[in-house]
Amino acid sequence: MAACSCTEAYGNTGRAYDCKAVFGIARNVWLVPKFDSSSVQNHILNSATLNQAYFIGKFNADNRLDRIYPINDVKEFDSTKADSKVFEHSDGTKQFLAEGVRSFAYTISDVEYKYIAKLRKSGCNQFGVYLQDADGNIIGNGRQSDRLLPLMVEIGSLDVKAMWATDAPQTSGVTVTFDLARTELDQDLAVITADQFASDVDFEAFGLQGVLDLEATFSNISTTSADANITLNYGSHNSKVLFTSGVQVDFTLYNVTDAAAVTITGMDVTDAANGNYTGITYALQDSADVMELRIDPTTKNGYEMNQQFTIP
Amino acid sequence: MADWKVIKGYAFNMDVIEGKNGEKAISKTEFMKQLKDVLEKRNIDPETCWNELKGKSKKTEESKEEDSPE
Repeated sequence: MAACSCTEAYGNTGRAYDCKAVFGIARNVWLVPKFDSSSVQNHILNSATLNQAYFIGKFNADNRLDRIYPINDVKEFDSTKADSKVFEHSDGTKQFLAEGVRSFAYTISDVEYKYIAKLRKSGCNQFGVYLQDADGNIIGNGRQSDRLLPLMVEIGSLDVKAMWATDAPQTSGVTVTFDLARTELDQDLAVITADQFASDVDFEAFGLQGVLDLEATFSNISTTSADANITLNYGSHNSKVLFTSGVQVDFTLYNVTDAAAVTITGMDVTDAANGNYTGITYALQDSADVMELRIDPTTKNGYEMNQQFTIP
Repeated sequence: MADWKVIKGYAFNMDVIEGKNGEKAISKTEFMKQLKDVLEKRNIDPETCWNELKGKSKKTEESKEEDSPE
């Protein structure tokens, strides 16, 4: 409960029966770092134009601190609120002390167990969540009048477990649980309704499904060229899913040792169907320099790679 | 965003070839140093490629020479 105000002791109790901003059952969970790359708490400004470009930009931000990480189509979403803390006097009367902690739980079906490690990374840092219901409405914290903040998660409360397929029946997947921070008050919950989105917004578009990590295996490395076989890090342990949609403009090269961008002079993407991006050429590099082949989600929406190799 | 030109399946960064958009133009010597092996592995003649990228065929060069006031 927020501190009582002596100047505004009573709240008017009229209700709006039309155009209610009511949130349905959560379908998507958007993980959001607490602070962005400029150390400002991540937010959605009321004045923002909520069109496809806005969400593509947020979901594929170059800096991971600025990025929204959507987990789409969660199942069995559950929200529970622990009993409020109440002090009971010896005469039997009670005094409210604090709201109980709110916990969220949900499952993600049909996802590889590798997903656990990706989700746990969030738990290493301060982060929050926006929730989205099936109609597209977004719920967060509206304590600031000009923006919607994420609901902050209690540090250390995130738990992610593998869910086994069983005869019960039960599908294979992942279960996620966490608590909201004690600073998150029910009265601050606020909703941006889907009718505020521009007509071009489509959350089923590939660029809004969350960024996929890519991995590269390098061969034929020389001081001026290298070949790469690129896969997602999903698939069979001994045969990952191939990354087949790369084109030359998607790639950049960086010399980690020299901390300098290196321009790619040419490359061959004709065997991309097999994940092969070959003959990647560049100006002469020093032996033992560490290079990094990059795919940036701002350029290639939905994908990211920062894979290193060493010049022989 | 870089401009790319594809010759026989191999894509060349034209910013480097032509020295534009902040890139230093690659010399023919440097081009051969970087790309000779890569192109020959693909049965692409580096010399022909260089000429095509630079917008000059043998014929063009010859006619240029003929047209030259010198």
